[in-house]
Amino acid sequence: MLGYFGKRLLTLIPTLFAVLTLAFVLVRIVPGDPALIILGDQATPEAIARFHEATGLDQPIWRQFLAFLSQLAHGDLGVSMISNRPVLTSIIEVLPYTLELSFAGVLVGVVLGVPLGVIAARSNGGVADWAIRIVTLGGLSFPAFVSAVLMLLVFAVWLGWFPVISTAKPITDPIGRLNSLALPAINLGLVMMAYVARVTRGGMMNIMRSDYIRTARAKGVPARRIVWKHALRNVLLAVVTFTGLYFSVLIGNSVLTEIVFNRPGLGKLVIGALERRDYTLLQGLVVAYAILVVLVNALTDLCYGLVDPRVKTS
Amino acid sequence: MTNTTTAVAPARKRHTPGRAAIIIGATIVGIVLLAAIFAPLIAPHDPYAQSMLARFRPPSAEYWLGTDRFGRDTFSRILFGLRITLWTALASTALAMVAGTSVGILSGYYGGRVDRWVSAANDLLMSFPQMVAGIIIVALLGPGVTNLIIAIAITAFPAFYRMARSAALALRDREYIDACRVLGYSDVRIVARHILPETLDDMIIIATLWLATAVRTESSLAFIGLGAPPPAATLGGLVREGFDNLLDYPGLAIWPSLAILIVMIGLNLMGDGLRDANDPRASS
Repeated sequence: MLGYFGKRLLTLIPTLFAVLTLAFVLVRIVPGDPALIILGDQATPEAIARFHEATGLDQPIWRQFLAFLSQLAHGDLGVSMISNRPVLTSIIEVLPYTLELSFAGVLVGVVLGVPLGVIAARSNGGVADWAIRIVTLGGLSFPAFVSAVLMLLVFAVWLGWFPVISTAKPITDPIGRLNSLALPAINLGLVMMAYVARVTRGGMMNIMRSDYIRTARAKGVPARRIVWKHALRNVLLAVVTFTGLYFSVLIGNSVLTEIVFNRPGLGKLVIGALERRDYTLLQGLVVAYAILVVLVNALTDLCYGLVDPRVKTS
Repeated sequence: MTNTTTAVAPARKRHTPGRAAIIIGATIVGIVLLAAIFAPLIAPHDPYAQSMLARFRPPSAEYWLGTDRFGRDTFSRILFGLRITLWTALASTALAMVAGTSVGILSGYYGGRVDRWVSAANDLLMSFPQMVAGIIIVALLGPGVTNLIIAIAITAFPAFYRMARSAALALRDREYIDACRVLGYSDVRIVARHILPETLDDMIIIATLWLATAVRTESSLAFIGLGAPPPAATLGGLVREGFDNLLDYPGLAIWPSLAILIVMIGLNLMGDGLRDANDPRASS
């Protein structure tokens, strides 16, 4: 298993290298000299030259790229152009909040979505199937910010069940922290639930037609056991694949969720960096996002191996 | 060769929920489209006309959905917002479909080094969360509807590219394509007359499904403040304006939210229905 994962990690290197190059290039094709943006239009040529020298912008582009890579190899993402704080520190500060939110969202999505999908498949065309169809259609149709705004309005403002601003509570206050996590996580999870329910339903419908299920039925295995044990185990592979693919959508939605619920996180950091034109921070964030997605893809592959041992050998 | 078709269960005749979904979805989308096209005729007020005397009015006979903080009519603004949202979604999806399909088919048909490089670039594009990619591209290109269309098209490109490529890969080794080659047809003729039409059904279904995604991306970007620049009314921008006054005037956020939902439900119903009608077994 470890060997399989190790090999999988090795294949990530070219992708990561390409992503890093892209991050570097993206930030440098932005129109306008960062020095003018930061120092203002009135900046003297000397000040601009000093800024270029301090940030390494006076070097040829290939040398800048090498410096960028060597910094990265030392785990250094540079310093923010605006606040002068190390980019890595800013990212690590908020990363736990985004991860916490994303994983809580995945949990909500899978825990609600899989049973819904199974129930819909068993009902196939019945009332439950139609009801779940309508629920999933609703889930698919809510842009994350729309559901977030409406949930905030109903559950926080009108009913007062949750705090209006999900300011980060320290880990020493677990109940407060969970309380402020609940609405954002449900918001992320509901959309995912709709997709997971569909994937599960589709997979279930296919698998229930397969020979081994028919054999199990013929042997007299109770229907409940066939569905939840024999069939579901194979459907989970599709759910895992889907969750891995969906993670990147989820991260995107977390940006919107963080804005509406005013939660700290990568998303809010991105928006802040864009507003202040903090290109080094932006570059670091692009790298962070890409590494996150690439790692989750690798993790998804690892999960395949756990759910279906056949994957490892192929 | 022995006959193996008996192993496949005969297709069950079933009621097609796809058709009902298409009809309902198309009706919703049709009404919304008409409302957007004829917005200047339907809108009871000028969407940009400010009136300091009519700020934050509740819904009434004069202002059906109330007014915003500049006294502008919310209903009229939603109608005009629909125009920008739908135009952006249609244009970006069409752009992504044309670019993705043509590059995908060529990539799959010819294969080789170019295919490997384009596929690698495509994988790279896919390793960014779509929303984050959209945010960064719009931020780099600068505000404006055209840039928004380009940014959304870029994020939608991989879906079309992958589908077209795999279709072309599967088709190029088929016997009828071999026959075309033997007959001496040019590559252009084979691709244009014999491969492209085969993939078109799938592409149109993906396009319908992606329209919903494009609406979502456009309104999300507008919500963040990266949409069409003010004073243009966009649905996402309207939700944002409402969100900023959420505690006092929740209606300002609720109405445009509902408008977005209606558009999304219509498009999703249509897309799902088309897909189900095309392949009744795939419901995932």
